[in-house]
Amino acid sequence: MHEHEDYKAILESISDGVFTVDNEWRITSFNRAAEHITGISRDEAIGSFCSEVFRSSLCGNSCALRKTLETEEPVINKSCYFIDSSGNRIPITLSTALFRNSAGDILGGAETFRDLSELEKLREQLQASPKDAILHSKSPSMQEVSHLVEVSAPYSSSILICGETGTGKEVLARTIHELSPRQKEPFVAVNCAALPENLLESALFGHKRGAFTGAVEDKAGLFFRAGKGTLFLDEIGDVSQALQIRLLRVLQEKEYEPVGSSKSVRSEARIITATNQDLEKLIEEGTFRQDLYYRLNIIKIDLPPLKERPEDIPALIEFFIAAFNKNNEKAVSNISSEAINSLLQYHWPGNIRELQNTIERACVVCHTGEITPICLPSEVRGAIENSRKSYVEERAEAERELIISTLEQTGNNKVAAAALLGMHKTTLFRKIKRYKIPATHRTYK
Amino acid sequence: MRIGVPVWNDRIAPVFDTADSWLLFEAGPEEAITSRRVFTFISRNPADKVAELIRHQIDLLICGAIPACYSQLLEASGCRVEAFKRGNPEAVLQAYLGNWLDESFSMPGCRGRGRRCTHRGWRRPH
Repeated sequence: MHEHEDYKAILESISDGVFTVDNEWRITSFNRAAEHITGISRDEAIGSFCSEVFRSSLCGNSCALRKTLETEEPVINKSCYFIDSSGNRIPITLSTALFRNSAGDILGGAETFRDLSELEKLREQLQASPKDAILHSKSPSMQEVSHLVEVSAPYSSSILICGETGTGKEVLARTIHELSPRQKEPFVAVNCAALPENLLESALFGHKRGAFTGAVEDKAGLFFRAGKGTLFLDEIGDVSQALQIRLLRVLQEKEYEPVGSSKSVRSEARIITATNQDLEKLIEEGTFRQDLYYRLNIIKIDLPPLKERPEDIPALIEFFIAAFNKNNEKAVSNISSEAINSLLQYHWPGNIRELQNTIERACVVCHTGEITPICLPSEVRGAIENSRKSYVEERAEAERELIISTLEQTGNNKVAAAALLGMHKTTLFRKIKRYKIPATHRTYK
Repeated sequence: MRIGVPVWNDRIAPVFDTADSWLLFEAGPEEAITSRRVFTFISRNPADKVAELIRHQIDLLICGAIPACYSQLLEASGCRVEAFKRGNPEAVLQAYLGNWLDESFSMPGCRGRGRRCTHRGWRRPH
């Protein structure tokens, strides 16, 4: 008994949440930290189904406890989130174990979870920069991205970043560089689609005096300028086949020759590339080398489009407003909830870059220090209006068609039609008048 | 009225993000449920689930826990959201239609005069 009280005291003193469930998935114990992290009292939790208390992103078919009970193997430090009573997604890690009696019989499961949101807040307080949108994104679709950034940064392996235009591929590459041991070395970025092939080759590898018309002196290329730092090649899918061969050699041999030179130069730069194209499709079409792809793709990070991470839109809005205020003699202090709803509803084909431009424009045009819907471009402002309007119009059209077909079915017997439609006959008369259903649509049998 | 209810194991799915299936009810006057259909969500992405529900022109979503950003999207499109509910879908819907949806149908931590489990919008910049 004394030992039991000791264990209970220990569970009540730790900062990790712990709860246990029986074989029917009902909570049988819920420690103080679980109450604090979830905001749910022990009295409310005990006896309820764990999924209706915990509400995690694993609840359902991915339940960690279910897996442990089936396999008798624990789950350790699984990253996920739960949804609190205010609809916020709270990042956590959780671990599971089986709960046995003294005879060794399985009585249920135990789950331990740790709140990571304080760690995220600490990161926010340390600095506010574009990379924060990556490292402490509130979106589950960015959890894998954040994880890959943190595990890959310390190494020199090449990274391929895939994402639509404007999703922040260069910001991601800079973030990786700044978290790496190379952070004090140069970060050099080049857009491979912005230069013609011959200029790109010279830009990357440098050239010797006289290598081509206009080469009046030796010039170091970007590989040289990157030194022991990071070289970021954006739009890698647009590189010509000839240049792909040269890049493959650098990745394999860590050497290259400037244009017009036969002397090899050693390269120690870490290579990060990015594309908005489907490189595997380009390989099938024969325009991108498969061996180069495998060299670039040691670590692949897929950046989701902005429409898949709406939770990050408010934080990005705040950041862009703060950046505008800092750079201009204007203080935009607020954004209305109607404007935020419009921004949430819009599908952002241009992703974060388009959002940034939209906010900057709104800051410029707003007169009162508050961004309202009128400050937004018509296509963004119209997103919420159009969705309501089209929804209402489509619904009315669907109802009109349904009434017409039902009247045809009943031979214009309105009482029977009303019963089939689940409405009172006077309601049906009113809708026939409202939708102007002409007599020619009313067939007689 | 068209009502959507994400489900799991014959109960309202506890988490919108992870629900695989949903029920579409149609209710007429006199609180009568006139039809019931089962759908499998086309995508596992919660944003796509929201789009799918909007395409089906539902007037009301009764669900378990749902992130604020998605309930706001639904409400902005004209769909009312009754969130953080639990229990048998038909029973909860009948309670709603009969106007006796009380705290016994609310998830733990979501009871008490509606002070919690409301989505009050986003924090505004200072």
